[in-house]
Amino acid sequence: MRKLVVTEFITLDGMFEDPAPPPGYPSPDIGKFKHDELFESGALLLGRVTYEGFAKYWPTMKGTSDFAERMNSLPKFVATTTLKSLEWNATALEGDVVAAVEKLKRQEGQNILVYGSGTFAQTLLRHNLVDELRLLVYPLIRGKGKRFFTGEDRLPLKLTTSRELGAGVVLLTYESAAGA
Amino acid sequence: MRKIIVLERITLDGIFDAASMDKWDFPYNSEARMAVIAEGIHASDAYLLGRTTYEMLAPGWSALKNNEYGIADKLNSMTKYVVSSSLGKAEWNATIIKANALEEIRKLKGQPGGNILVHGSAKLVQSLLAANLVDELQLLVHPFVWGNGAKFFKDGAQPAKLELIESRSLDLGVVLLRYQPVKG
Repeated sequence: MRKLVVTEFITLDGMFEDPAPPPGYPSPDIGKFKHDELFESGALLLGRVTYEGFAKYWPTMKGTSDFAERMNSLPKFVATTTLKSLEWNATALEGDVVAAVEKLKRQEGQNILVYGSGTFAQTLLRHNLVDELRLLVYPLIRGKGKRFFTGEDRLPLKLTTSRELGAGVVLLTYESAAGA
Repeated sequence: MRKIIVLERITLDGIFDAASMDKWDFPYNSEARMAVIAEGIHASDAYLLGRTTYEMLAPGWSALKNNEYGIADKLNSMTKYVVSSSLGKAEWNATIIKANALEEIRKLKGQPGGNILVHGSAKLVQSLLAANLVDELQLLVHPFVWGNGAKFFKDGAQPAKLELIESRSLDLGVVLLRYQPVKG
């Protein structure tokens, strides 16, 4: 059984415009956390929008770091009904997306990591498929942009970590408390 | 110079709606959480509120006579300021700030005294933040994605940078985040 981890950069007001950290908050602890997280994962699971952004960007970073190498070499699974052909070691999830993710989770292996993918992440949360939600909360109010939490479901959570990572960024991690 | 301290109780998805607090707020109360709230009240000598929050709090609290939760007496005796252009009269030791709210609040800040405390009052807080009048923003983040209801941080807020002063995990999964707005 693989663990599904959703990991996000969000602002204090809940905005998450890009699946990339807001600029201007350098911190070695954040770098280490993101590095460990990627190397503890054996696959990426992405929504279409995040996939398209990543598949354009990361191949251009080839040879720049072991992080980029791993981003490029890991298998990816993409939730899309519209894309016909995928690149960047990516496969589209077939059929019912919830069933497809359940099947992925039943495999053996390292974590399945979700970056960004706001709409898809809400689907995963709603269907209780997320084993761990990791939020890096940046100390700023953006005032506009896309909110990460857009679902209408009520999800009780259990706090598992609260840790300062430097530069005023706080890591909050949660597990589902549904049925607990 | 008095400090304006804002304390908000929110869900992880930023909802602060009082109508659902019996589900996502009260069940997560603990001694540690109550202490944070009570300390904030006892360190303040004025309570600054928007109209909606004032109307929600005044009837219930003013009926309490036995220093409930160790805060009712202080809360009831404290001077209140309510920002409202429509409110006709106010009770609960409250003065209505009808116009030029930011200017009036700036004057209050300049007076000698203890902290000025704000709870709820999202619209007011948004104006205070935009006018650089908030000295500290404290968030009690409750471990619940609530889904719908009023959000504390509205779309269209003025972008702002803050400095993290403290993060502390309280019991039952509540996290206290304390920030100081970066001025200018």
